[in-house]
Amino acid sequence: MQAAIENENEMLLQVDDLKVDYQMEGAVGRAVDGVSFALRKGECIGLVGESGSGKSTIAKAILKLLPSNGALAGGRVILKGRDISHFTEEEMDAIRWAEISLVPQSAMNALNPVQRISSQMVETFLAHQAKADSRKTLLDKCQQLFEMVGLSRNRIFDYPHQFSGGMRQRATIAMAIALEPSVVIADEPTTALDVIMQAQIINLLKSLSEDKGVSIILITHDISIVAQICQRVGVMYAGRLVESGDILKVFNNPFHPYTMGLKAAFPTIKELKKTLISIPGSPPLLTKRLEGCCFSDRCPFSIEQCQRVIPHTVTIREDHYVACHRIEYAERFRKEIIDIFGTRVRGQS
Amino acid sequence: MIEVKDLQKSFAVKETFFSAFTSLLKKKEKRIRAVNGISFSIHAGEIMGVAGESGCGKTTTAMLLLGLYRPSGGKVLFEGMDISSLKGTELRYFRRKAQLIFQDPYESLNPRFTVYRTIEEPLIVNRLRRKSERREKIMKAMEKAKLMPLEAFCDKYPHELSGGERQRVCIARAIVLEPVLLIADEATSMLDVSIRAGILEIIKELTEEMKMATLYISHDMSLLGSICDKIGIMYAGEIVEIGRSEDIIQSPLHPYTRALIEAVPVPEFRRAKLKLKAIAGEPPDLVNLPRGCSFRLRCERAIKACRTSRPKLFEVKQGHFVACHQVGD
Amino acid sequence: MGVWKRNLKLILHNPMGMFGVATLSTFALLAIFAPLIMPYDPMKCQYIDGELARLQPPSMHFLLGTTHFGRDVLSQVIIGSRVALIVGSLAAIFLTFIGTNIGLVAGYCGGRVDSLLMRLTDIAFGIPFIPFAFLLIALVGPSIWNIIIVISFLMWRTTARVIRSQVLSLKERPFITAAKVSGASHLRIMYVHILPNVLPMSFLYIALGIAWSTLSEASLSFLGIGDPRMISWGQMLYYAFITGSARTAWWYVLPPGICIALFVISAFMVGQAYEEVVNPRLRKRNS
Repeated sequence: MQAAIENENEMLLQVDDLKVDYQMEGAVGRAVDGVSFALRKGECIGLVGESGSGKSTIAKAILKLLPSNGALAGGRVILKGRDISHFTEEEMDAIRWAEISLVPQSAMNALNPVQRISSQMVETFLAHQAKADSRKTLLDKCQQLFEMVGLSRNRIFDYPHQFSGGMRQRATIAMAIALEPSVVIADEPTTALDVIMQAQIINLLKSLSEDKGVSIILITHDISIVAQICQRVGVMYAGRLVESGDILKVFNNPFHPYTMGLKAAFPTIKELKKTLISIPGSPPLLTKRLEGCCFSDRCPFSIEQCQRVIPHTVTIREDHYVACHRIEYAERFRKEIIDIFGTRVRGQS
Repeated sequence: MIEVKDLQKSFAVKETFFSAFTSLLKKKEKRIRAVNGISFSIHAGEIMGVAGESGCGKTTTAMLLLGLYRPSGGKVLFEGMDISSLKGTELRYFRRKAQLIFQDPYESLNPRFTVYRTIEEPLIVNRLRRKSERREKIMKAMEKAKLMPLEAFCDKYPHELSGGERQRVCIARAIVLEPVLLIADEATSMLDVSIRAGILEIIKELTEEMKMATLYISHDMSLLGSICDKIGIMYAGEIVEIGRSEDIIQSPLHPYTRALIEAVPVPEFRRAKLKLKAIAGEPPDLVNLPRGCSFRLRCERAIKACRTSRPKLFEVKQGHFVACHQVGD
Repeated sequence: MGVWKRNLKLILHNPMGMFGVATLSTFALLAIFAPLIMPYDPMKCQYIDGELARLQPPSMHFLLGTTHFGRDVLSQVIIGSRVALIVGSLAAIFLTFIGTNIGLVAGYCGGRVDSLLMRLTDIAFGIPFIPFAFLLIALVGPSIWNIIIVISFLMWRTTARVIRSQVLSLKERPFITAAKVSGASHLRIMYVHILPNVLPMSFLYIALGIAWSTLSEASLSFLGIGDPRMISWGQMLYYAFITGSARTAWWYVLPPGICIALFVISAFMVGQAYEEVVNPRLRKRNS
């Protein structure tokens, strides 16, 4: 959270104490509960967490695309010094695509199935750019974008169904960067894809961030994808940011038991005999009002205080923030969590 | 325990108005060749992994093994019997002994059945009449699938359970008939990471304990590497490499296997990011497979022989087979 | 079962559903306790000072006036609720039963069976109701049972189509594959695994069916082919019309008219409220 108070000038996007509520059959569920992070220029930040942790809701809240039963319950979203969290629909129209764009999980939903991709892209340009470039120059621009994301120029005249899943995702990325936005939010961009397509898209996002200087917020459940692209990371659980900061610091020396668990739960191809862990239980219901730490029900190290008091986010060192009552024991926990939750997936051999 | 010999499956292409017209002119029926002559065997207490991109025939293979599709060629031998020739009591016996766990644990449970009812259904179908006997078997299956405490789960409906719990109900339903063959189709890909390992552990334990032959389908090589005894790599309906999982992961021979492994992102954290190796292109059209090796269009090392003849699987070393012209010569 | 209790609660939570259930229950009570509530015998001609009480306006004596033949309108309206209720519920149950089964078999079996049953449905859609009813009643004679049969014979068509489309998507769901893998027969899959999942939709069509069939019975009776031995609201209107009283005696026309409208609207409202239970997407929008 302290990240938000750093040098304001180089901050592109700041999310400050964001809260989002959902109306759910009479009850109110808090999907995002006081999340703060900041995105610097040219940086790629990853938001990781499991389903229902609120990571996609953050994306929707930033773009003001929340469903009708969801609403911003507090906090600010500051884009280049302007608080856009209370912008009107018209003001947001000017910001979406042009300033912040979205690469959704399902590319098929983002593309109109009965329109050629060329005309969809040209429309996007026309909707945002007042100066009337001729259609031909716009089309040329679109074709350049297509080449940039690794698609051939002529395929732009195809319909979405003529593309494979990976190509569609490339096309949506091309559309997302068309207006040269300052921020691209990629919401689970590879979940629907196979390994090889996933690797292609990861490489594409990486080159956009490194070579073209696009700032990316990558939302995913897969920490190995974050490891490939991001410089900084936020680990989310039950709507709260439990640990965040520099990716090396967070994952090489995690201080929150959930981060430790997440890291140890992933199999890795480099180390087949790694003991995987599995954390029993499931995240608390959204509608449940949490008195203490959101992870306390599943945490093996939870003490009475964890059930009762919401932990503050503290700075462990430069660019490493954790919300846990028992950070002083982190070293011990890292070893013990594997003994407690380790499974024998890979025999004892 | 289960043996597959030169198994093939093709589907007729659904004809639209126009394609019906053109095929009249060509006088040749179009067929999608989903599975194209594969052979392997799984022994009791062994987990075999099948990997490949979507559309490579993994799920079709599973359906063939369960007898839900009729093979277009070749056969599946189950305890020495060809399953497509089974009838009556033998068919009933086979159905009981071959079970499946699905990818999506929510969709694969009947929303109107309680947990108890879900696990009871296979027993009723297979004419286990005595209620007390059924109850005993259900409790045992739930215990094995770690659905504890039993009483807490019995009367719950699927929507009251978490993803991991639902998948354990699916496992309990699959093992209540004490199957010999268990097929898991991407059984953990829709689950949250923090509970995946628990489900894999249950599958691993039960395979050993109940002496099942388990087929685990996934495109995640790191997952397969960590639970399987052997792995088969499928590409365009064929097995291109098969062997012990250590051999496949640590010394892959087929260029496609190598591509699959190199494309897996690794959770190693470093400042300077390495680029993943991702081969270009897409799997071939299953209606018009290229001549020769079906991978040659995406292969960097394709030679002339790859264009003319289809490589056959051959044994490189004990239990490690590969189908590539570049290997061994 | 808990599910049904919850559904009823959701229906009653909705003001429209509440209104519908309340009105229908009132009509049901009227029908059941008709002999106790009715002030007079509905078929008996009433006399005032030895003279036939023909077309008397509402008074303390006859709360809703009398008919052309000197019968008490209130008593007729009360007893009329019986026909509405019997025809409405029985025809609705029959037509839903037929429709659900046809939809289930067509959707699950697919192929030729599906084509055959769906063409049959198309034919049922093509037949105009009133002429068809006239023809059939003319052949078999007017009675309440024949009317119920005529209505259920034609009105299953919508239910069949809706249920079929539901079955088509249900049968592709993995839990059906799971049932197949466990060795369940086709019949068992259809009636044990799929049917419980389409039942909520069937119940919705019972509610709507009540409205349709009551309305159909009223139209048939109004056209003079209702059961001559039973008093129904449609028939009251028929007599009001053919005796020419409809022009002068508003008390003869309004009560049965209002009852038909109220009954049909209530049934639709219950249906509407129930649809929100079946289709949660509608529920969200309203809350």
